[in-house]
Amino acid sequence: MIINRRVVLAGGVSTVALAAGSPLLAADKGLIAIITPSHDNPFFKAEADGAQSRAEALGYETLVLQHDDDPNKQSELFDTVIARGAKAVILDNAGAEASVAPIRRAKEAGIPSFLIDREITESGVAISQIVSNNYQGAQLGAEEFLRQMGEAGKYAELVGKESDTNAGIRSSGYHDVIDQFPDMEMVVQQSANWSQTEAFEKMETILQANPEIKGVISGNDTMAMGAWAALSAAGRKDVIVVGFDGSNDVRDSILDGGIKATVLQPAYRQAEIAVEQADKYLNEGSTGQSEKQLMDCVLITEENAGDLETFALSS
Amino acid sequence: MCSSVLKASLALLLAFAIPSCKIVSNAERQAKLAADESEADIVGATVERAWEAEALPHIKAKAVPFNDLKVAIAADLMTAGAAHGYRQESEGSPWNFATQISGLIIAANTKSRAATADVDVDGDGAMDAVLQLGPVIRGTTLRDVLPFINFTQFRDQIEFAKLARAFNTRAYEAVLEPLPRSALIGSRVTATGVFTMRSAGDKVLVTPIAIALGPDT
Repeated sequence: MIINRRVVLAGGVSTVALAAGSPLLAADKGLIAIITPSHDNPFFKAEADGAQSRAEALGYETLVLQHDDDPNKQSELFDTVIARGAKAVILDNAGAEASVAPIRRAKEAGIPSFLIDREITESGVAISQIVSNNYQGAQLGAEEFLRQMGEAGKYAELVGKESDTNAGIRSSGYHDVIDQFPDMEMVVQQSANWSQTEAFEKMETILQANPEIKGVISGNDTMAMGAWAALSAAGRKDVIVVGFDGSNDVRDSILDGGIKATVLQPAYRQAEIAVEQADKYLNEGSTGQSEKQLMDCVLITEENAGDLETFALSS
Repeated sequence: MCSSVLKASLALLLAFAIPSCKIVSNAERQAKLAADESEADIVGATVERAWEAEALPHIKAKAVPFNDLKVAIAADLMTAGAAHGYRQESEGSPWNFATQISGLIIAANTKSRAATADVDVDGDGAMDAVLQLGPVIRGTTLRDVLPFINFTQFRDQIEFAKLARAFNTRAYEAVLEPLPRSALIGSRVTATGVFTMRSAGDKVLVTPIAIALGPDT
């Protein structure tokens, strides 16, 4: 009996050893390139992390690159990826128009692209374009902004980078809701190009010219953080700030009684899904999904901010 | 002369290419040349073509009596959605339902530009559904409940959002604007409409495509 047990045990151990070894073998599945804007913005870092860990779990090697929102740099990165013979590209792109050409170049080299977060202006070039439902999310943010403002007062809007469709769609989602309220008055609308430092500087200037503002609605969280820092420094913590993304920074600010709300984009999961679709496409020749896919956003306030971690809500 | 003829023929081509749910890549490339003015045309042409001919018949055909839907959703949203609703296949998409409602208006907010009427359907005195009366209509359900409308057919989210707004405007102008508002509370109401559910506890916010006050017919 005892001997038998040992044999079984030994067999078990060797199976475990084999299983542990298999991911290394599976790394032969090839290389997946993950290209995003700069990881200085934790949103893009979370995307890259989500894609990388999912790709490695599925047995791919990964190459993580940043285009810093520079279309020329992005184009060079695509050359690198093509030269390295990547199996697929996961991309958060550097411009809706400018990105079409490099994605097409990769396609012609036999490398399919799977887009996250931002769209391009053409369909039929990438295999998937998985984006947050920014219009739905912006309307959620706008409704909360209105509620906090008491549906009346002067406010400023910080808009994102113009070359990014997401900047336009969020602004249009905000205004489709806010502009229905005649007592809401936008005194200034400026682009801070998604940048925290730029938003800080713009907010200082806006505040000097319009000290009476009661609220700031921002196209993303990094700009909301920049605006909040400027408002805090000027002793204006009474100003209502609403962001968009669902970053840990803004979560902490909400829990601390600073920024009032943000809108969560499920960025981490979105990146994982892109990798899963790439894997399915490489294995089966189809993702089984429409090219363009929307993922709904979730309003984050002090009610649920505590459940937010790295662009995902635990429920 | 030549270019205006070309433009007109491109617009025509576009008007047919989109409705057939299949974009020929040539047509798409040419659409770019026709620039922004044709973008509005795609949205306008889609609404013009789809509203009467496809959207209204589809919603009416799929409309489930509200009480049946309420019971099914309370039991299990996923099962109710699979049986009666529609959603795009992306992960986390909410369910969209079409429904027929008959009930009593127990409260109304007609001061807001996003006017609403609360309806008690089962006669227990409590609100079961909220009818949107506009002119501001929240949400994109009229667009999202239609399985033959697909995001990939549209240039970007901005154009896709315009389509949702255009459907909402059409519903307002066609059925909600003519609705008398003076004596809503206490009236019986019959409506066919659509709503979106993310989770079973959500408030039922209905966008009507047909509505009538007065005794049930």
